Amino acid sequence: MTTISEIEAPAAVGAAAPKRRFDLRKVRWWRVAVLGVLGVYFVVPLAASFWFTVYDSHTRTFSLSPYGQIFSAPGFGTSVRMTVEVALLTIVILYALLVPAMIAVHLRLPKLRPVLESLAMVPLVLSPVALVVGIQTVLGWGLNQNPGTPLFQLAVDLQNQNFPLILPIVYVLIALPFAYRSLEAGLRAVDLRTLVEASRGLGASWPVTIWRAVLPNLRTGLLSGAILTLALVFGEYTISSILQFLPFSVWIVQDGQGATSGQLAPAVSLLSLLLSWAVLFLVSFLGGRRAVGRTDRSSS
Amino acid sequence: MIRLGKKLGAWGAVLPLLGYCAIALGLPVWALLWEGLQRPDPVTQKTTFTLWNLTTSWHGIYLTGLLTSLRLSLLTSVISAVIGLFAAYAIAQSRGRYFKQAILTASGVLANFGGIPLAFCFIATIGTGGVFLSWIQNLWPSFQIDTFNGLAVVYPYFLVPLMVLTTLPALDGLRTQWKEASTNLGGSSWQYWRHIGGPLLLPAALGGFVLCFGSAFAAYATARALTSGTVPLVTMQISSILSGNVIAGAGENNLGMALALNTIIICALMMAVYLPLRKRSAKWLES
Amino acid sequence: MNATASAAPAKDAALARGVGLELSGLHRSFGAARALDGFDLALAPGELVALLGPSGCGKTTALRIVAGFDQPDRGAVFVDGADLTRLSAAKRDMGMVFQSYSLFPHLTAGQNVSYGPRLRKVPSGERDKQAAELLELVGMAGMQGRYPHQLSGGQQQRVALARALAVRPKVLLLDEPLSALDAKVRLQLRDEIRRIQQEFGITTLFVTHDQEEALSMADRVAVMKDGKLEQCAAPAELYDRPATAFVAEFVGTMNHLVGQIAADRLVRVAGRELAVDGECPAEGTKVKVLIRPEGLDLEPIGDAAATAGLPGEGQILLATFLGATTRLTVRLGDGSEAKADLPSHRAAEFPVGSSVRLLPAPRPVLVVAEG
Repeated sequence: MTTISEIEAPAAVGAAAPKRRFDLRKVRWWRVAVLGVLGVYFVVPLAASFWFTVYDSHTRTFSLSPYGQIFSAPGFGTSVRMTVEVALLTIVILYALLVPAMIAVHLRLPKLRPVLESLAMVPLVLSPVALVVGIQTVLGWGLNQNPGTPLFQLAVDLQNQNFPLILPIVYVLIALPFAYRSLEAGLRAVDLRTLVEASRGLGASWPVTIWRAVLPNLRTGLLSGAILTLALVFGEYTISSILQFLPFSVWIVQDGQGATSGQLAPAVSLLSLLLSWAVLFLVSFLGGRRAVGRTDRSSS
Repeated sequence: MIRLGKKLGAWGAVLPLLGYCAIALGLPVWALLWEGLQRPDPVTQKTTFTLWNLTTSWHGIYLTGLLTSLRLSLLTSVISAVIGLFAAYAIAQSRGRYFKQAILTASGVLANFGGIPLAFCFIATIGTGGVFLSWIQNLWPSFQIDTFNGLAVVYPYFLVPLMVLTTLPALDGLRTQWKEASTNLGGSSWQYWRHIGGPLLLPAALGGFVLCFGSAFAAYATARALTSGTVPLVTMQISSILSGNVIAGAGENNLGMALALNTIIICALMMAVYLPLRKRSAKWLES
Repeated sequence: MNATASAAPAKDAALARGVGLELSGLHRSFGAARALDGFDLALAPGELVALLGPSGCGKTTALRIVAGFDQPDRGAVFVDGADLTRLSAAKRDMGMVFQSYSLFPHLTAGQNVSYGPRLRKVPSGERDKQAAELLELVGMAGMQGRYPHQLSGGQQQRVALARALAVRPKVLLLDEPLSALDAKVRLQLRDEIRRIQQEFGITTLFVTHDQEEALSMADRVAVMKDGKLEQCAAPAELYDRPATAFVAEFVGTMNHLVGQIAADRLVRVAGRELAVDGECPAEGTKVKVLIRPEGLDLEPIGDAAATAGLPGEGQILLATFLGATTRLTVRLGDGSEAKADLPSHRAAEFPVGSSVRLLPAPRPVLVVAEG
């Protein structure tokens, strides 16, 4: 049976030359077009917000004053402090739970991997509204107990205005997907088994092994996860507003709006976004080795 | 014996996490079930177990809310999934290391960026008094940010990065040898995607889509900041009921619970579809 | 050369379609790096030529250009006389086996093999039958239903070979197909690939960095360096009569002994005079003489004589047991080392530390001028 090529080859040789070149160019342009349009979609709102925050259409002046005003607005300090404390506690709890679990699953219990992964996906599709409603109810049960019982006291403590413990407890769940993803990427890039075996073989106990051998190699993952969590806590509004606490984002919405014709809120949003992106970008190069996917060639 | 000890030790490391999630998730869900299935009888003021809340939540304005939420989620997740997939492909193909890393981190941040900050940025751009509003209205006269369409324009901002984040590993996992082998065997680009690339990517793409859908469905803060009630969405309805803005009769709280329960059910459905897809994709593309 | 469809399943007739392959003046640069710098090679129909060379010498680039995955800056590729240089890879009718991971993971072995025929609209009954036959040919009988992740590395490469053959290619291209495999599997597959290739008579280009593989499998071996062809010859000729110093070094082990050109195309080395093969510099030039380990014999000398430090005399430094032969490393008076391969029972006569004299075999040798 004569193959296709024998019939086509002579005819195709002439036509193939220009077609090949054109093909290559078409592919590249398509890629540029897609990313270009997307780039516009993502950058324009940011640029517009920036413009909005610096240009006052009434007086037709430029001024970076909203950015300055952020710091002097009343309640700024307390809300930021509270948010930072909440964020730090969230990160600590999150890692205390997540790091041993992920290491254990990687080393000893690979069958649990899917379980962890699904767990890490649930908060993404779980409506924070539903969650907070449930939490409110549970706290309500606590408050319905007789004053003086431990449960009652617990419910009160959790809702302390100055430092609501309930927030970190919930945020751990919400931040789980992002921290998990960062750590997973870090764990995959490192040969965990060899590291642990080498360390244990040299006589180190488990805590020492984790602290000195494993964690330093997970630096990038840990840091990215922490930064994402920080950004998340700072941006989280739904849960804290319904529970009526006053962390940063809630404060922005409430107090920020009146004072400066709504320029403060976008200014802060922009700042936090750019800041977290810049820091994350820098952190991702801490790892040293290729953090990005490999382009596999059949042979080098 | 030692091996058993090691396994137990490993379980000991995992249990705190599992336990924590079980309680932190389980307790609220339990509360929703408990309260949602109860209703104080209007006459006797006694609470009884009933499905009334749930059934009510499937009718009237609540049904509208549910349907609108589903519609919005479907629309935005389809758009975002398609765009996200193409974007992820374009990114996976690009060579620059810094470029790729910048996009990856940006996606991570932007996927997180929903809610209030996003709303404010878009208000500044195309809300009333927004910088670009007149522009847009030249193309689309009836456009306003506090409508269904307004939300549909805003949601992709965090959905597309989510899709990119979810599918980029799968796209990176597409080995060049496969494309070359297919070409070598006589396959055109179209044939490659139809027989090889498409089937391999489908689970990851579907999984990403499902994730986007669930995420869009669950969104609250963005919608709240942009529309404050003009678009009926389940999440907004829940919060209105519970903040006492809506008089639904005695036991209104319980109704809110039932609404919340609906969202939990939808969430569970999402996960049930997502997980097998993810497993399949990982087997082929991430080994 | 064109095989027409035949009802008879005689594999040889239908598939023995060796065609000539010619690479002519290929140039390819990647930025500043020159991968191919005027590379020429011609393959006779049905021949298996191995492209051998150190990494970075351009062998993979050459293969990819032949396959159509890359375009040369200058030069052409001819198959059966036709210029295919600008033809797209999909239309070239060549079969390629990659180094690893090239099987489609979501298809079974049988489906992988019948992918090519499927694209060519061969009906499914015939496809499956053909796939089964090919799999049997490569030693994977009955495994059509297995998925790649259920197969070992060696098995995967067998399926990859069957897949490449399924499209009845004019030319078979192998890109280091055995490099990723275990030693034992490698040896097994080596023989099988060679057997199949000869049975089908397909012109084959085989890239490898393993010289043993090249020497044992190929009709001719093309040694490459820095994008150019150093020498293309049958394995024996390559080994015995390397055309350049590089080839001499690269293929097998080579000793460099200090010598000096004497009159009449003779070179004085290790106390003997040997004929010079190939280029001979002027009389009196100091040269390095290239001798293989099996071309050196040893004789013991008394310790008193050893201290005289005559050329070609030294002490046993190391003895490496290689099975039938033992390689003895001798440290010579001038500090350099020489390796001599002796049958193991004879090597026992020369314990480590004893003094010996080198005895080069009385055969012509290659020389390279110093400096």
